[in-house]
Amino acid sequence: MSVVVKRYIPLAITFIMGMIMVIATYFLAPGTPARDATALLTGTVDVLVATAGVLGLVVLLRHHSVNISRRGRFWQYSIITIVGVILYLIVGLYGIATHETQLMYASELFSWVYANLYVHMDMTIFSLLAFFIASAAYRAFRLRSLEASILLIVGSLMLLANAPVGAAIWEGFPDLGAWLLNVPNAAGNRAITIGIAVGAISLAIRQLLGVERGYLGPER
Amino acid sequence: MSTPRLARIDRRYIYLLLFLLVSLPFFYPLKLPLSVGEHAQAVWDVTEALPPDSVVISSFDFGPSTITENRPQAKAHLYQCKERDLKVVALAFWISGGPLGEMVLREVYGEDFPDIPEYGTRVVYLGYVPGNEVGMQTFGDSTVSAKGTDHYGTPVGELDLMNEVTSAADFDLWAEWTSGTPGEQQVIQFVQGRHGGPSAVPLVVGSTAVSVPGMMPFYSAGQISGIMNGLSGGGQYELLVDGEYGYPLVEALPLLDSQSVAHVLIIVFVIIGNIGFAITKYGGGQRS
Repeated sequence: MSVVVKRYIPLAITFIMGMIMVIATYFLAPGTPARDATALLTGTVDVLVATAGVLGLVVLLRHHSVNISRRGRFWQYSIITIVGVILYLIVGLYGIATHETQLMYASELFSWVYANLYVHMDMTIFSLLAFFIASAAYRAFRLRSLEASILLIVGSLMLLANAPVGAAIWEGFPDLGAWLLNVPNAAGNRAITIGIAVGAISLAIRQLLGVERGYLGPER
Repeated sequence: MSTPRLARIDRRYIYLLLFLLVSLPFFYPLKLPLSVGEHAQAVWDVTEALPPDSVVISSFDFGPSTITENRPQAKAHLYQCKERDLKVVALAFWISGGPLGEMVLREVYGEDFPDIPEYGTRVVYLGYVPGNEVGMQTFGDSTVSAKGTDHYGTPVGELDLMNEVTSAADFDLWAEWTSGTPGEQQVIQFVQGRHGGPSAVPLVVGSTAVSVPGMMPFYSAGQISGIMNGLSGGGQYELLVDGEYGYPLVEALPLLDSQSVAHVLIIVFVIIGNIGFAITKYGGGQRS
């Protein structure tokens, strides 16, 4: 493929689309036909997301099929993944095919699988985090330096402030926790947020102007 | 000299102790008193200040992993809306939130939901709205452009309530139940910022406790009007709803005992670990 197709056309598309959105956001008044016309562009995101979903399914199935055929690491789990994906896909498509409803989410069987299998599995995996946090806090929270000591003390105060036991020990813990959130934490987070925003603006300008091309893949 | 035992407790003992102590309050509730903090109180005050027939968006932007924190928050707030005769448009910008939203609505409005008399006039469930933050922006600009049908396939044009609200400016409150992106920051950026700011689209948030610190700049600036902070925030809100309307769907309050025990246990282990560390450091032992 020529460099024009691989590089210049994507860069031109990025620049044109980006500039349209910048102009629409900063220079066109809400409610004007020109501004409303840009809604067509945002609507195309749905189409792209749907396409990416199909692509994701293909990549997932391919990755795990290769892992099984090569008897790669934890290949047995790859079998479970493929079986799970295909079965749930069939359940979803069955709901649509039988015209039970227009949307697969409202299909009784689809909802049953989600509510009784997926929800509980996801909750279980996430709840294991509590055990890792307890173990990690024991191993990592050490009074090694002034900064680590401040982190440890504030972390412990927040643990007490965020549960009823804190107020049972001393009724001032919840207020102290609220102050820590509202004042020192807000100040620190505000600085981080502003820093991220400035960085994001800088990155967006670089992408619009074609200086940042990482999203196009490696140059050869 | 070897590392003291205090500094090298086998993690399996920690896991076992945590499991036992967290389970204990389910059989022997501690019933520790809970006070309502300013952040949950703010959510309550904003919602109570709305006149009857105001329209509230309830956005289920979380997945099953954080259901323990987000579901009690959303449920208690929806119950308050129902009791106060507020109209509700519920939806989800997370694909995993679509089915969860329906579960919560069925708990609050009854198992027959959506086959209830008030469906379409006082409550609507749009289900999953695709597009993440772009979907949020599209919905804020034009509700019908973001989703042409409700969760059950009915065209939104046939739902009276949806004809009342054509853009974010027509809503009186945005209630965001979130544990990530898109979440409250995207509502601020793509909806509130485009439709007149916090006074035009007031935003209240129910979030996982771990995400709340990042929201505080927006709360201090008034862009977020109130926050339910994790399970504790949900429990505090259940107290408020129960006190005013009698709340039969209490979920978070009984779990707070287990949370209290877990938090104390973590602090105890941190202290034990530091004693072991100090012995190692100052007593001539080896560091683990």
